[in-house]
Amino acid sequence: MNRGPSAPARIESAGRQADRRSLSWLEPSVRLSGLLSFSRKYLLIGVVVVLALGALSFPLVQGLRHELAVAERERLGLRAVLSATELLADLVRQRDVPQGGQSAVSGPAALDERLLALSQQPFTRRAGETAARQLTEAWQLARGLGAADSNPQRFAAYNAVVNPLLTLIQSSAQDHRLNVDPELDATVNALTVRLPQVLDMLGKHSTALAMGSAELAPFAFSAQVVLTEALPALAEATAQLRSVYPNARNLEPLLQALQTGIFAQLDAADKIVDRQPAGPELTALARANQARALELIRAKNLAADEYLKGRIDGLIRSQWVVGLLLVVALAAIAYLFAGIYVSTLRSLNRLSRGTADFCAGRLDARIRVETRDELVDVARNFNTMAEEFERLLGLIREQNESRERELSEQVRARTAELAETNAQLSAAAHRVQEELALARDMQRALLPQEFPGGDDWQVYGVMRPARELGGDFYDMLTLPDGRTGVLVADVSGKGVAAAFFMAVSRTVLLDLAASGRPPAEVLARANDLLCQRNPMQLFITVFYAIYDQASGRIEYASGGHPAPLVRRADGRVVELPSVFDVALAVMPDLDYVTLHDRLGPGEAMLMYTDGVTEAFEPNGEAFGNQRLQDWLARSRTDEDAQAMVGHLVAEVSAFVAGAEASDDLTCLILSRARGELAMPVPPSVPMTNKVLLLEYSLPTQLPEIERLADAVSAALPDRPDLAFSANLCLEELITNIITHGLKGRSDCIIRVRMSISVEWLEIILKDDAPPFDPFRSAPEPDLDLDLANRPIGGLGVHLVKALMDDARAYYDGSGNLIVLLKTVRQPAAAARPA
Amino acid sequence: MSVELIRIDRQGVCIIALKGRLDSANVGDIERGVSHLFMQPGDKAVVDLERLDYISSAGLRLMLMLAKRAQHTGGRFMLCALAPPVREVFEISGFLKILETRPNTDAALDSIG
Repeated sequence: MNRGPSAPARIESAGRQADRRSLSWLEPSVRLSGLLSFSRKYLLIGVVVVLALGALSFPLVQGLRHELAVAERERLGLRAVLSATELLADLVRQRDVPQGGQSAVSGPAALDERLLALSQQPFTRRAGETAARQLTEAWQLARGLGAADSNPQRFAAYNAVVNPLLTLIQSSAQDHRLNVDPELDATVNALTVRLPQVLDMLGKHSTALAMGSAELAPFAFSAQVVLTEALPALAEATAQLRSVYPNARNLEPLLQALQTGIFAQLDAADKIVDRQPAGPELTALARANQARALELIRAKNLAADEYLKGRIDGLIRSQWVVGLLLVVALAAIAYLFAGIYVSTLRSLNRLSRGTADFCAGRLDARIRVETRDELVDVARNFNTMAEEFERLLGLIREQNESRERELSEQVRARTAELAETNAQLSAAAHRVQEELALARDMQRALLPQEFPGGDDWQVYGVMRPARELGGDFYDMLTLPDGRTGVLVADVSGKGVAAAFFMAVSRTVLLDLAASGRPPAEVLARANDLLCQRNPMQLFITVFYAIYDQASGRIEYASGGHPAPLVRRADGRVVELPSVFDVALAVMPDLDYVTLHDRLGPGEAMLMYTDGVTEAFEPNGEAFGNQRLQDWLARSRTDEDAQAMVGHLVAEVSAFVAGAEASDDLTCLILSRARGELAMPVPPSVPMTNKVLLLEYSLPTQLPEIERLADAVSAALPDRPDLAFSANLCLEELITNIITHGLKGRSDCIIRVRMSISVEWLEIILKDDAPPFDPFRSAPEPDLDLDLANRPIGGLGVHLVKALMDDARAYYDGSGNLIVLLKTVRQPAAAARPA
Repeated sequence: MSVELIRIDRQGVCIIALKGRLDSANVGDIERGVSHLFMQPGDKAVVDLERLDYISSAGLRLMLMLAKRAQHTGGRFMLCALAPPVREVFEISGFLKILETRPNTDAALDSIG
């Protein structure tokens, strides 16, 4: 860990490191435990415990079994020893039988089998084997003895059998591990060494003395020694045996008896040692002692055997006890383990169920663990945590709910506030709208509603504000000397401020203009005045002209305003020559220049503000000066000013195509009619062989038209089509004149004159009404409108223009003159008149 | 007055036959004669112009008015049997684009549905 965590963490990690180091030797086992499931862990422990117990008890049990085997073997040995000793006893008795006494043949024969069997026993030691062989050989010799052999020979031969037999008895005892039994060693010594010797010696003693032979005397002597020496050993042996087998109560008496007997025999021997061979009393004593010795042997053997049996029983019992203990231990361990396992498992299950429940959402899940082990801590900690968690969650929920309530309260309040504010705003906006609408109406009222005009001149204008209120204006006024002043102006900006300034400027300008001063002076004085009244620092461009309708002359001045366009009589469009003086209200004490020009017949002057030229269409292109000039060039000389203004507005609207207006659109047109006061000029058309067909005076009443129609039809009998067209045109024009020109007067006369030539049919109408040009006054009907949109009016003049090849109207000073021409040729392909 | 109005009802259709000349002087009378038409929805009317010699803009206006009334009330309005000069007037004024015409009364009755 090279990083530097905070101090507590470092200590913690060091502690963990120390743990790890101190237990690192435990790692393999720990890791193994980690790999195993719970039941497998316990299984492992159980197996280990079982193996351990088994491993521990195994040697124990083995030992017991060994000892058991040994004891059994000892018992066998005791029996073998006993049988051998009995055989010895018999053999000794055989030796001791005086020759010629009992049957020498049958006696030994009975021993054949037994001796054979004995010698054929397997002996583990060489001594035993040797002794067995000696025994066999010696017995053969002994059996070979006949009556011819002397007693001493017989005695020696039998001794040769007895000695190996004694050895065999000891070997047998050794083979049967009797001599190494610590508790019976003295007894075994007694049984296998001393007592057989005693038996032998008792016999030898008496037989040797009974035979009275000098060569056998040493046997008697050694026998005496052996016998005497044997007694303490026997006493010790008896004592040992008594100590290990207290039940052998008969041993001491028997020993005592034997002892007494031996002493008696020895005493008897002493008495006769000098005499002749001993009498039968010694033999009888010997026999009796032998019997006692044998009895003692048997008793001891039995006692030893009993003792061994007891030991065996004890061993068996031990075995059982061990086995039982083992089983009990295992059962106890298993039981404990099972208990621990189940208890732990139960606790773990409870833990895992509790945590799982909690994780699944049951926050009231708690773990109940009733044990006293560490799992209780886990459970307790978990419960505490769960408790805390539940409580916290409850708290959070509560807080959330209360906050939600607060929030919704706030939202409600805020919404109400907003609604109120909205209502107020909307009311305020509404008020503003109303005010603006009012202001617009007022402003519109400021602009002139009526336009001056004369016989041959007209003025018309329009101002379309970009917003509700505009900053442009135009005006006309009649000067004291009868001339007409026309004014177009453009306040910088738009909207309410510009409208205010516009009103002020208008008042100032009109006031000054009304004095009749020349335009330059008007502008100069207005400039000075406006500079004083200009808190918003606006400025205004102005064009002011004075028109003399008698001569057509105009004098004009402009301040910062675009130069008007003039359409000359020959159709050219030119800019009015201008001096570009400064706009008004910029700075005082400026000079302006008056210029002069003339508007001829058929000419028109277009005054405008930059709202026309700077009308933008959606892609950003401006209408522009060129387009304006082109439009003016296209306009017709017989169009009146109002129609022209209408057309220009329509043209700009079409161009702008719905885009929002960027500036107020203002235009003012001053147009002068073509030579209306001139005498009627007949069209220069060829009229060959002109013939007057009809001359008719029509009272101006509609029903009279029918009578005229009859007259016309009568005058054109072979051209009903011409008559139809003529009548239609006449009706339309006359109706127009009566309705509009004469305003319904029925007391006038319209004179109609119809002539025909080779090329043309000519119709002339003459009235004495005020000037009225039906062809100019009527708007062109839009023939493409559908039924719903088609207006009812405007057809008559159109029909006339359509049916006639030429239609013109004039005013000759006393009245109107209308001349219609229709080609006579069918189909009509004649040249139109100029 | 030089115009006559004859009214026939056939197959649920009102047939107005005009005779003579229809001009600005007498258009008022004819207007009164057809004022009942297209007062209710679904009216059907045919104006028979076979015997009409002359029509001017006043008459055209009347036909236009009838046609607009028919459109507003969901009725059907047709003209039939226009004489060539009369037809020319309708044509020049562009009315042939907005009024339905048929060669004769039967054709008009068939088409009017």
